Amino acid sequence: MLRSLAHHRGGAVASGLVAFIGTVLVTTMAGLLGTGLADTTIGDDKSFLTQFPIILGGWVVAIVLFAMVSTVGVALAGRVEEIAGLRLVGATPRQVQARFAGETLTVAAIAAVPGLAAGMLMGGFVLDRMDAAGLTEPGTVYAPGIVLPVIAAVLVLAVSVVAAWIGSRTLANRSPVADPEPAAPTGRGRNRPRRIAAALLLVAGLGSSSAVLGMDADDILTTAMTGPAVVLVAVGLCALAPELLLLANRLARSGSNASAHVARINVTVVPRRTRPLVTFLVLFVGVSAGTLSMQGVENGHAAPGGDAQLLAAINYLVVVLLGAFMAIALTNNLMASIAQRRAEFATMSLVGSTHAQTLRMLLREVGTGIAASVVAGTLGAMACVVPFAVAKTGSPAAAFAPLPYALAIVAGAAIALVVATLAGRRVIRTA
Amino acid sequence: MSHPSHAAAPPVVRVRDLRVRYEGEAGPVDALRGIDLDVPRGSFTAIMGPSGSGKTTLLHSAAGLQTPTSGMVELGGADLSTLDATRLTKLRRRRVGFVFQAFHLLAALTARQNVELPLRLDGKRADPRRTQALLDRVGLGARGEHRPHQLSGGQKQRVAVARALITDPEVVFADEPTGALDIRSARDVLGLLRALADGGQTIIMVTHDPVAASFSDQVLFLADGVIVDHLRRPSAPEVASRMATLVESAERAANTVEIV
Repeated sequence: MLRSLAHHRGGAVASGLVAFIGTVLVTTMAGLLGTGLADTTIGDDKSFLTQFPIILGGWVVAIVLFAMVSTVGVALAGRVEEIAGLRLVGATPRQVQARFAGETLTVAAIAAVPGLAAGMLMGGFVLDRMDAAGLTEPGTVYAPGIVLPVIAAVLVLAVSVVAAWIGSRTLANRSPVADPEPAAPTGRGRNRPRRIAAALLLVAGLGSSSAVLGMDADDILTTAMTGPAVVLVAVGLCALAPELLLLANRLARSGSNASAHVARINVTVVPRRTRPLVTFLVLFVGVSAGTLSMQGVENGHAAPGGDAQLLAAINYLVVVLLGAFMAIALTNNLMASIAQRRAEFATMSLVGSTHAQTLRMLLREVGTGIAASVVAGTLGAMACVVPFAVAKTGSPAAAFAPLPYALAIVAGAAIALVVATLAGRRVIRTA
Repeated sequence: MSHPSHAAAPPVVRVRDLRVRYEGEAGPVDALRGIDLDVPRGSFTAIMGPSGSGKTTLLHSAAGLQTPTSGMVELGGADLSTLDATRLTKLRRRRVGFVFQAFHLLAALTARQNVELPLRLDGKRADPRRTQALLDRVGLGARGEHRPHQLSGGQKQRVAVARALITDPEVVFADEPTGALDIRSARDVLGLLRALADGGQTIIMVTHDPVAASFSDQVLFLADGVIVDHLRRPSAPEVASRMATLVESAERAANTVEIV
């Protein structure tokens, strides 16, 4: 197993990083939960320090699963020949899935040890910050215990195995002699469940955010309904990544040079090459911009102190944690998907494309993906925050304050462009 | 060994004292050990040799795909050693065509788009009539809108031949162009290359197949990084017989080294 991992270092590092950060986040929440349940914890802090980590921890586990499925899927797409070889010598799809689940478990287990330690330290740090902000009583001391953090780490291991199982399902079940990179458009039948799931998520998210309109401005449910709505809408838009890409490609100004010409064809014919970028960038922009914008509305409305300040702190923490996590998943997936295009870049070079031309082609595709993601992410976030702004201030205007959107868009686009340029340049040069 | 041109016209490819050394785990390996070669314009040259004799290295070095350790390669009068990567790429896309065993077509592009790509990369507009004429010439006039996965191996290779010709190159380099094809498709592709050579196209082809080599004007035999023999107007049995001798002596040499 370890020898196999050594041969696929890129994929292992990507999965390992996601598992590490995931373990840190979930263990942090477990540490806080442990403190909430501890006898030494003072009165009101008990309920806060149990509810907050359970809600946030639940979201983090869901996001880790999502990020891990995508990371494993992208990493395995670079190993189609190996999978075909295993299937040709008689491995069943289940055996192939078990092999990759085992590999991912090994990687996640290696990442879990430092992740557990870092998470326990992080929990102490977060509690310290909360104390400093006056969110907890000064008498409450950090008491994570060992059982809950270990359970959290084991939970991430289990999530990794489930993710590897799901992420490898399609490749393991394919015919071993199927074209590793068919350029044929995906069949209509396969798109349907995805589109239905996306529609359901969007309806659920927009329904949840619209329900706020009938509530009192000071009702804590306004925040509790809008926050998850932002996430649901972002995930729903992620599921529509291929459609978003095609739309952006159709609207893009068609350049006459070869790089733009080939990029345009690539995005139209093989949108899955750019799909991981769109998936994570929509999540990043949607969740960050939505939560920051919501908080902006809240800050303008609420009186300082009390629950409002507490929720503000939680929301900012959510943005920072999820933002960091999405940025890492985005980087991982973008690097892996660029590395898989080595043979294509080599062919470009053989037919006379200079390195600069090939890089321009790649960046044009990435640019289309960024445009699709930031527009979709921004519109999704705005749609969720408008009812919240109306409920809080009586007008939708506060939902359009530009700063939260600008922050999320600039950060997300910068990460995507820098990673694509650096990884693209390296792969193109060595192709 | 030199193969001077038969006419006064300068050779399309001129190679002098070409050497390529790889750093292997068990010490340096000399893939090419001083090759001299002139390829006349309009000729069809086949390069043959046992595995590891250096034929693909020679093709790659002559085509500017690989930087040799020492020696000189001139392509249409341009000394390749004086060009940086970008200028080398530009020279390749304007003056050289490639046909490879693995086809190297871009999966997302149609046959027509693949054929026109070298021109587009050079900032030129493709003339649709010329593309169609080339597709007709390789027998794929009705398949221009097909993508590679919708074509057979032989058809893909014929698209690659059309792509190699779109820029009117001075020389077409073919590396085992029939290696992945069945007998019938291979014969079609070789017949096409022969017809091109008869029309004045210079072709240099690496192959291990004596039948493929018999379509050429002359065969150069490589062994251990040097040209050891050549054969004009070759027939398949003659080529096969010389190859058998070469392989036998290569095996004998390898066994001697092992015993020593």
